[in-house]
Amino acid sequence: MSSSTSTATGLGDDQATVTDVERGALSWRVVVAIVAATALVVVLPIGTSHFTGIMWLWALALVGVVGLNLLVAPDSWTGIFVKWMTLAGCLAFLVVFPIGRSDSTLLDLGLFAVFGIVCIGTNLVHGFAGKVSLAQAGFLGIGAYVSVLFDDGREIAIGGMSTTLPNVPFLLAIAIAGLTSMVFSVLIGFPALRVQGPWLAFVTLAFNLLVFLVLNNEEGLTEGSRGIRIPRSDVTVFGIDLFSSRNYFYFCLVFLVAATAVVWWIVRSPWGRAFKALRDNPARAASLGVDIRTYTLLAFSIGAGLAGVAGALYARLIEFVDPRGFYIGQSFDFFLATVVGGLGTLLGPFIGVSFITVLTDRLRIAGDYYRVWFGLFVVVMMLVAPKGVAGSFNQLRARMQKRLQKRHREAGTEKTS
Amino acid sequence: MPWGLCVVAMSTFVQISFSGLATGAIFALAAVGFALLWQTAGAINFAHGEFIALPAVIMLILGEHRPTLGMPDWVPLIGGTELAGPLPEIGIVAAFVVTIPIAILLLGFVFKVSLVDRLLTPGGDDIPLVIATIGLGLVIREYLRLEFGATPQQFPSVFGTEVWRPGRIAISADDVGILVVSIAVILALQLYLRRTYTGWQMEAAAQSPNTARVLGIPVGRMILYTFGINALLVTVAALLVSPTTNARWDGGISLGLFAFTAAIIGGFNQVRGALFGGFLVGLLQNWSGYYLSSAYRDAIPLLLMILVILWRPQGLFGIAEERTI
Repeated sequence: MSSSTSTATGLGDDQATVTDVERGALSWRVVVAIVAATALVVVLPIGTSHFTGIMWLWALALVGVVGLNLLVAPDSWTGIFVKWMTLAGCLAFLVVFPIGRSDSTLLDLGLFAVFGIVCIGTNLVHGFAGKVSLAQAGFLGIGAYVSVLFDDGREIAIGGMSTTLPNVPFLLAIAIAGLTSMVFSVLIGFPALRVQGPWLAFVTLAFNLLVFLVLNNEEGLTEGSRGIRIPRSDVTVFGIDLFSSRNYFYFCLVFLVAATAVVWWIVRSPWGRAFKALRDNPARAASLGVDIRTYTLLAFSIGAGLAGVAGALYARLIEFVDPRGFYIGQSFDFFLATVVGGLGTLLGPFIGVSFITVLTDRLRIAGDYYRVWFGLFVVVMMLVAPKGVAGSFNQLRARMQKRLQKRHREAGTEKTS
Repeated sequence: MPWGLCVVAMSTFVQISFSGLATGAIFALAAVGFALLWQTAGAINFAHGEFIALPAVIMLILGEHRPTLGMPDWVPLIGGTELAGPLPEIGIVAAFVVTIPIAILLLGFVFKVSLVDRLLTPGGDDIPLVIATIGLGLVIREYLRLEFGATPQQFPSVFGTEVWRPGRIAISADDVGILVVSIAVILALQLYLRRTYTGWQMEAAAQSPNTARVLGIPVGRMILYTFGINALLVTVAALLVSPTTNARWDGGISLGLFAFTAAIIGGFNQVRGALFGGFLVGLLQNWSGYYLSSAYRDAIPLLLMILVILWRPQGLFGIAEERTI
């Protein structure tokens, strides 16, 4: 939905689609796309408690925004205006929507924000740096437990010694959580990033399971499978009380926006160009002097650091930590969500994380079978649209822009002749 | 150390090693199938564990009628008649025989044609298939949980529950049966690959697809056979492992992980490597579970796998290959 996302998908694919442009098929495809999108948005919530009159308005607004972004040329001034207005609109929605909502809705939104940060990290590692990491839940867990250890007066015992860590401000605890995850990611990533593709997936998966085993068994440190209750009642930041669910959601939202900004900045910086070069052609990048190992390690550790920060936020969000929340199944979820959203796009993680958080309860039409459908959706998506929702949107838009330009040119030549 | 204590320690060691070998034999079965797919088709299946969990549940449904394990609602709809009703309770062995063709069809043929063939382009990226099989694993796991409940289902052992006690050690009939059957299956597979004409063709197709094609070997069909063999192996593994682990919806995750672990430790490009890897993982699990800490019995094989991937990517028993990593 932004020009930055289209640059991030890689130019090669957009050029590939140019060749198979069919003539004059623009109008009916637009109609089909808009009708399908409307049908999807309108039909899916039927039978849920959320199907109220206002839903229609939201649906129309969503279809309108998507359609508008599809039609304008992303690099024109109109396109840039529409893009920023869309982003501002989405942000405004996230700010306004929580007002007057119930605690359970706010918890859902909070999970959206927190897991969104994790998926942004996954996307940086996989989508931009091209490395499969299945340890994100492990880093989430490390962050969560580290932040819990700094809770007021918590006694920790390792190997017969027991000690109490100082009570630190919440923001500092978050920073420490993120840094600890980064340290662990460097320890595992420094040797592991030599291997590629599925092998890296296995190493990270094994690491995640090891983290789970430690969390589950080091009772002095983590209370084991009983878990730790960690109420939010005493948490204040800059004098603002984070006890209310809405305040805490806004707090998480700030981190979500910051994480997006960080990744946006990385992707545009020389680092980001190095990442793209690495992902698209590692051998060529290496021959051009890109230090592969350092850059991938950077991406990997930033991704893990984001997961660690998210972990600290997550612990206080659900006010409880327990090792099962950081099992490898959760890593699979983050991974699949990021893929479904669209790897290598800035918008992808937001779309993807919706599938594992807010949508799980909204799409009641799927009922208990929601996760089965989600899995099937992933499989089918890999078969028909492997670039994910955002990636496919970019492809569709590129195709349509080509066609619009062509029509424009043809109209021009007719006039002159 | 007094002689008596020494005997006790030895017999404990023998007993632990023996049950470790039995567990390892199952890992070996799973790992061999996993390695075969990689060797011949270049396919990495992240749903491998679920491929073991699924036949276990099918066998229970067909073999024993339990109130919680009825046929899924959609099954009777296929023929328009009540399919589940007249089915007799056939027992687990007969159910195993019936499950084999089902598994070969679903986990072999359908899996290959609908996913692997479409996602694995020659010389292409193998990550799309990894993603799709992770998704497939999620589908199977969640479906089993919803359809047949979250409680682990007891699974009868084919070999009975007898326990022999020669001297100080106790040997269960189940462990002996597991060892004998899995070694027999793997030996038969090895003989088939080495001694039959089709076996040679399969080896050739795995080692050098292009040359094999030039020599007139139907490479596509050979790959399909591999998928069939893999389906057969996972069904046998399901039959053998379920009495100890019970048939569980989420049993696949750890089982699959240890199958990968065994295949990677032993060496991906060798049936022999996967076999030894399986035994090694089983032994390590049991030894570390008893002598170090039962909580971390799974950790040692995982650590070993990480070390192997990092420092000897071809596996302990594998032969270095240019393309491996």
